[in-house]
Amino acid sequence: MFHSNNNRINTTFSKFLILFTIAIVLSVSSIISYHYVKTIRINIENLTEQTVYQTSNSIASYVSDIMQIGTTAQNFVTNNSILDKEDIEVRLSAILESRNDILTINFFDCEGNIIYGTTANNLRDHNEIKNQQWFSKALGGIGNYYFSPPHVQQLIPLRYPWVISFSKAVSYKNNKGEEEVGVLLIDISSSKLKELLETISIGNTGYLYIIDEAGDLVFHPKQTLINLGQYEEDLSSNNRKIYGKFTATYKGETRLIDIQTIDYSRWRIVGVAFINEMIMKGVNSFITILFFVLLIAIGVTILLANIVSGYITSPIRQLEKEIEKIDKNNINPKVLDRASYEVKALSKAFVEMSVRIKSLMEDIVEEQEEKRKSELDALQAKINPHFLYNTLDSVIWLAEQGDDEGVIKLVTALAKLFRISISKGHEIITLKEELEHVKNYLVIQQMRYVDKFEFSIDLPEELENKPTIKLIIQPIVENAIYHGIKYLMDVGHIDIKVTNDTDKIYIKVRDNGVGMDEETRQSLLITDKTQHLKDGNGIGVFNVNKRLILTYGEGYGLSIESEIEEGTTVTVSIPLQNDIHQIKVAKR
Amino acid sequence: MKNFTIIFISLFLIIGAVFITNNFDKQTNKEPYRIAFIRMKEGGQFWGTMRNGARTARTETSTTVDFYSTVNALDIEGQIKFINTAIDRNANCIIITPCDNEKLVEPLKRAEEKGIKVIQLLNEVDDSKGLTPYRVMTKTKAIGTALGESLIKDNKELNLNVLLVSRSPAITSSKYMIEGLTELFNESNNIEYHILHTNSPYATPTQIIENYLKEHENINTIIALDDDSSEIVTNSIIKLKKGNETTLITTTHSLSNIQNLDTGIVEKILIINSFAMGYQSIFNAIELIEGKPFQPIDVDYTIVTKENMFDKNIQMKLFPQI
Repeated sequence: MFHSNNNRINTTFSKFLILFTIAIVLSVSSIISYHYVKTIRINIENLTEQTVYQTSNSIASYVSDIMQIGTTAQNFVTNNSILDKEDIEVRLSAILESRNDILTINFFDCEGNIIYGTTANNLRDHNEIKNQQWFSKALGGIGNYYFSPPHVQQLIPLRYPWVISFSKAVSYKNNKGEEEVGVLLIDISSSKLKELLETISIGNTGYLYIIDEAGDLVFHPKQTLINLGQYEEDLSSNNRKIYGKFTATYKGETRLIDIQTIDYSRWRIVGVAFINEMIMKGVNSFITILFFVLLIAIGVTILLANIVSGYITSPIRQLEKEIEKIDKNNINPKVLDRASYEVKALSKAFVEMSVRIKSLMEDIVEEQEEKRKSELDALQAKINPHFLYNTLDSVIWLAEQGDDEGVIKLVTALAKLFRISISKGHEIITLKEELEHVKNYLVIQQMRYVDKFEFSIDLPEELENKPTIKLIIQPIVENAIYHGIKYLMDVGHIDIKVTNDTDKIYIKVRDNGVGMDEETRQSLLITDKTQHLKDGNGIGVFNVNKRLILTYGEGYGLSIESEIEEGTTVTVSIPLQNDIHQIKVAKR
Repeated sequence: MKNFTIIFISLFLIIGAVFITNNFDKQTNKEPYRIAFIRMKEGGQFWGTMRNGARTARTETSTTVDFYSTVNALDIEGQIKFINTAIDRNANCIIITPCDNEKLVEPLKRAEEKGIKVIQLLNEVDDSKGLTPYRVMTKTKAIGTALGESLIKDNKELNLNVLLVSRSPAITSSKYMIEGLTELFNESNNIEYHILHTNSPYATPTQIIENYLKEHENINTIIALDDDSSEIVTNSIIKLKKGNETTLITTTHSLSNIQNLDTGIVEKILIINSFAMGYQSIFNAIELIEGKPFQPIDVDYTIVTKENMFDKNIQMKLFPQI
């Protein structure tokens, strides 16, 4: 997603920052979650253990109280030789009145007949009593005792209270003074256990329950539901360990089980914690918080990314606007002073580049202008009206003299001269054509200035078809005639010789005219037109040189050597290129 | 980027707002389901235990349960009035132990048309008239068969002349129990049976029973198929001093029934787990309201005798700690 060339910096930056933030938040959250869950689990285990331990102690304390009361009652019964029946029952009733959780305290002989007791009503038949579990379990030996699970007591006819029975084998002296074993019974309301267990929970739904030594339920906070078949407890898991912590799965729920023994009673207390529920509760809260943190983080990241990327890209956008302005012919960008170092450097470089471009553009415009003017000059050279007038005047003169051959020669040369000049659209011609043009020009001038000069042209055959821009030699030759040869007293010579090396062609135009001083020589190729206009000397040569440089570059053009009274040699250098075909100018 | 930012921040705000609103709504504005619980009768161990079952489920599920019951178990008009009240109070569900399988169809259909779910408890109404048969039941016909089998097993050598007593033939629980019993009795050559419904505008149930017993002195077994009939029949037997010569089977674990069982006046007690009926029906109602499948479990029953009444598993049901 970051490789698209169309992405903006701030989009890429924002995306990166958002993904980075999400990755960081999720990574940190995962680590925190792991430790959080681990901590919750440890806390659940500790909480369960503590709850079970404390409840176990409370129940043990309660059981110990009952046993203490049992010992007190036992003392009354054992001392029945000292205390009479009424005294014993009064003392037992006093205990009963002091404890609202104790329902009855009775003492039975081994046949189930009541001997002492707090129950005023008639009791069930002794056979019914002695067949009950609390009775038979206690009769294991002197001091043997038993805590029953909650059960419906069958002591008084037509009464059916739910009680927990504490029964204990106690020795006493019968009416005959013989020592016998009887059973002391203390019936306790099961509400005390109910209060203890129903009010304590582990987490939201965890609970505690009590089992006996056989693993059967003694009391459960959901006892009613269990009794009426609406809830089932997982008692089988308790067989895995007599004591300690373990996890078990029951009906798809993972439960932490903690079993501890309750002192004095042969009961065990079982703590059940629903681990997943407690962990999930914490995790749900955590996920809620995480969700908010993530949302806030993403929101803040977006804003931050927007602000930062805006700060970064704003100068770039400003630069972009400056560039757009350049597109609209404004090449004066401002340097962005308030941007960052990098953007400022970029801006500065851009401004420099713009200035350079501007300069180059101006140069190009100037060059083009000069080229246009020089071409115009060349065009003017092509159709110099004075030259035409003079030539035609010469034709008239020859005609008047009756020199028909002269007329024919002159007019033929003029025609050929114009053949090259008017070759519109053919700016590149062969050297042969260029020199043919010069030859015609020289022929015409020779006829005008009779016996004034002679000329020679030396063009090697292999160079005849080499290309050159046209009308570059004629202005030089013209210059030689008008400013060199014209003032000679003797016959002048103009020699044109073409040579070449590996990459250039040299066209040397040599005259033996009056020559020129150094100042004049140097001024011929300068750009200041006013220097030429003083005497009109050299404007054609200057233009030729300019055209050559504009066409072929700085390595080409004219070089001038001259010496007063000795003559002048102008060397034209052009590139050595492949041969071309000669132009064909159709006759009309 | 600007558009992306605006869209994202908007989404961020919308999601956040929805999340917060949803949580807030869950925490503060969740209306508890309102369930109308219409029983046939207020008093008695059976109906009280049923109410306690519903109450326990109400506590566990945090629902609102409006309890309605008539004084007279056969008060059809009273039940129709309660149905209309439940409709007016926009109950989500009506749980009803209908006292008539015909006359309550139209009011219950009206409730159902208003979008209120209707669960029939213990007794049925006629579903051929378009009422959706959502029912929490016990296998009453099987109970009748089990009672009959138990009776025959204990009295193999005797010719039985059995009187089956119920309040009304329009109460389907009694009707199906009678079906179970009579189908079994019909297979036996030494069992004669009578069916007596005590709902009459001309005489009280007690008068009807006493007169019937006087007229049919050879009746040696009486099975009372509901709590009202059980109480009336027991009192009549004691009054007519026919306890020694009559085998009496009653229904429900009222204290008087238990005591009569303990003293031998009553031979057997049929206990239908009315706690489970009340308890389970609330959960079934919530399932229905929430559009979940209706999956009732048949409620259990127990036949108690003097011999087994203090057995560990029996005493839990005979003496519920509620």
